[in-house]
Amino acid sequence: MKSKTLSSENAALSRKRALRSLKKNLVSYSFLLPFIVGTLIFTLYPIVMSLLYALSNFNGTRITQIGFFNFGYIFDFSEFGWGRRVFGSLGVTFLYVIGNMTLSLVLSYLLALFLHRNIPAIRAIRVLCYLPCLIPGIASGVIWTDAFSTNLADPSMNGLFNTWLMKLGLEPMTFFTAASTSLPTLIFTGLWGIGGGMIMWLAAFGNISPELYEAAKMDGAGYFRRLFFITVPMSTPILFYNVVTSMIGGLQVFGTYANYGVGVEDSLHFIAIRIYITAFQNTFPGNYGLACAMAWILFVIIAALTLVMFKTGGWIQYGEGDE
Amino acid sequence: MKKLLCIILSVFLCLGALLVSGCGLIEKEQTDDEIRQEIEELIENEVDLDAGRDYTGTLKVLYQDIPSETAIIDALLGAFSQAYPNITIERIPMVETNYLTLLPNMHSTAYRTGDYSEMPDVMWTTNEVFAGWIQRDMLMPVNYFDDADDSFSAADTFVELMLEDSMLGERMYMFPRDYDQIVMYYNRELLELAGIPESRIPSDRALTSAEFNQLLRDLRTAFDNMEGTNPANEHPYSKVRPLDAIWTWGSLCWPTLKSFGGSVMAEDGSVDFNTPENIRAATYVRELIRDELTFGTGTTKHANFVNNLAPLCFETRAVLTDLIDQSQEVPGVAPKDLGVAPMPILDSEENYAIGAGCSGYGMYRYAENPTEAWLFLKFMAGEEGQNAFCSTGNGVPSNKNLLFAENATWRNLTDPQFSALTNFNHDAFVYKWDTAACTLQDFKLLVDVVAAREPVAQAVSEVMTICLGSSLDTYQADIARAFERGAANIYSTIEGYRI
Repeated sequence: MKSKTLSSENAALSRKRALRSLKKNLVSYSFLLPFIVGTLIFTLYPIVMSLLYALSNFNGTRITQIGFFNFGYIFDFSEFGWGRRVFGSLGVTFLYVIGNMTLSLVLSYLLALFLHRNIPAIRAIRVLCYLPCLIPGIASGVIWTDAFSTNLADPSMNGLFNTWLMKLGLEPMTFFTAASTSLPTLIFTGLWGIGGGMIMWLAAFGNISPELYEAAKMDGAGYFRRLFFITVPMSTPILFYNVVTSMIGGLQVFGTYANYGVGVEDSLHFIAIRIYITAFQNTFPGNYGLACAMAWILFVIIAALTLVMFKTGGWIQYGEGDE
Repeated sequence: MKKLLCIILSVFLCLGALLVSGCGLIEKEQTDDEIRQEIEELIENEVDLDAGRDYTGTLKVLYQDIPSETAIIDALLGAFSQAYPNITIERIPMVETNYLTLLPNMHSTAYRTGDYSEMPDVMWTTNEVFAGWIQRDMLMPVNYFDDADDSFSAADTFVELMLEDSMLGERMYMFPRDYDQIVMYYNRELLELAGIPESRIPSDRALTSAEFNQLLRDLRTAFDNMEGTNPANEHPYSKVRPLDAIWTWGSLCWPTLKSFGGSVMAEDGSVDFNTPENIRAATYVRELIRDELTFGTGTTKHANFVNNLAPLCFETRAVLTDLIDQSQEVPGVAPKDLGVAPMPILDSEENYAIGAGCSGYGMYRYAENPTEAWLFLKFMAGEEGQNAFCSTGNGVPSNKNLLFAENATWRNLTDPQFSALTNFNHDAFVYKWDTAACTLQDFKLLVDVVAAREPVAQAVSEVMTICLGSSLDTYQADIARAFERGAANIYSTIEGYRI
């Protein structure tokens, strides 16, 4: 009897405390409310609905079937099954991520190394290197499309690069007009944005303590020893950040669709584009269910890869304390 | 381990909850009989088939917000308002891209909320897009209205080919507005410059393939040897190529293949695309490019013709005002210089084929004003509506009774912009309409998977694009390979859409 009274007293006390805390934090909660409501409506609801649609045959208007069949289609690797198409797109996307990430990281690193020195007009040179990043992707895409345009039937209609090649007495190249050259050409156009990576590297170099270099110099370390034993290890946190964000961004690459479509023989048919086309293509009603299922597969892949990268992040040098 | 088990169980519980909640959203698929019954009930209960000219109501019309379509809808609705003065018109202009993306989404929202007030009663559509709209339940099968209304008969009104273009299976989803057949426009001024008499292009018959090829070569030789610059476009005369044509456009690509005896699908529904006839057709066009008789990949949309860089052009009546528009940067063709002749025979006469097609108006499946929508469709199909539409100059009527009527508006244009058209051969637009005209339906109807029909048509055009862009040194092998791959692509497209 006594313990019952005690527990009811405790409950009343904790209710009182919660009410008091709510009153105390009411202003904070009222400021947070728009964000919470926004997250619930514009993030959580679409996430839940996309999972529901992934389990249905929703075509934008109605659902007449529910189950796991969309995932069955995605893993159907028969001759005309969706499996080949979806995983074909995933393959192209991974190739793009690997090519784009490697080339962009290496070249932006080299560019940053080159620009990390005190020479006259260095700031202006840095700005010039960064300028292409300010051009919207769609605009630069138009420029590249024109510059790489190929017309084997009528050489007078060739773009800038082929005109140069022909003036040098070389054969015009296929660039975006052949499956084998589309992806490398697209990766090449990605170099337009290395200025963005360069800024990150410059910031990382700026954070490396000059004392380390001085000590190394006193020990007789040359440029390359300082580079490989100080600069590179000390910029691994930014390297890790760049790798993770490039990978996530690369796996979701979509902007290329506006300028280059899906490429010859699906050579640029990235997974995000396939999801979009499956859901919203113009000539036939969208298969929202299948598109949502693909999107969930992509989410799982990205989440798994990100997790692996964090789990294997022992090589990152966080400096003193190495946290 | 315990944590992992908890996560797995939670995931399964969530999925289970989602499946259960999803089951509540499942709708039963309607059978053909149920659809027919539902529409017949609608007609019986909500549609006044006897509505006269004094009918009072509201009509919401959705159309593409581009100058040519706006001009047409202005003419049509003006005439409709005169005929039905008590019907209030609500116009819903929509930009082209939204037509294909926003409209289906608007329908989805309206369907799920049950509020159709933002949706139109009637909307412009084409055969290329309506299969998807039908799948989404956006279009009314108007054949049931046609059956129920004794005062109208679609079969007696429309050109048969256009009627076929407006159907999917046994149902009719669109009333064709126009009959568009490809013709050969020519620029008299450029012909004269080249020393080619107009009499070499007869008005009462199509040029034979030999005559046509000789004409192209004579034109090329004449301009090749001509010195100086055309003051109209500031281009050297030597840049002129005889023919401007959109070879990759389905409505020209298919009749080109057909003219050489080509095919896409066999009668039994199997793919029959990698054929010597198709390869010969594509080679023919590729060699026209090689010999500088036509332009590159042929996707210029009459730009070279209006820029006075080509004396001949394959196009339809729908672009007439664009061709004679002299207010743009490009010079255009002076109306007095614009001539028109039937589409030439590209190969043997027995395979003579002319590309044709149409667009039209469909009724929204959940139209709030079905009586007004039906009245508009009937009006548009009738002689009054068709004449109003044709008064814009860019239309040949889909109403077969007007095709050869000498007093039909499309043959007697009164707008001042057409007054300078001289010896304009209107008969070219209906030349052999009943025997040689063909649409993509020829092969699309043979594709048993409805969803794959339009993608198959696109795949055919893609092959032509590859053929026309092939290298000068290897084009024969490239074309053969393009058709081999194209056939495989068409097959996999059909099978891919089968699920």
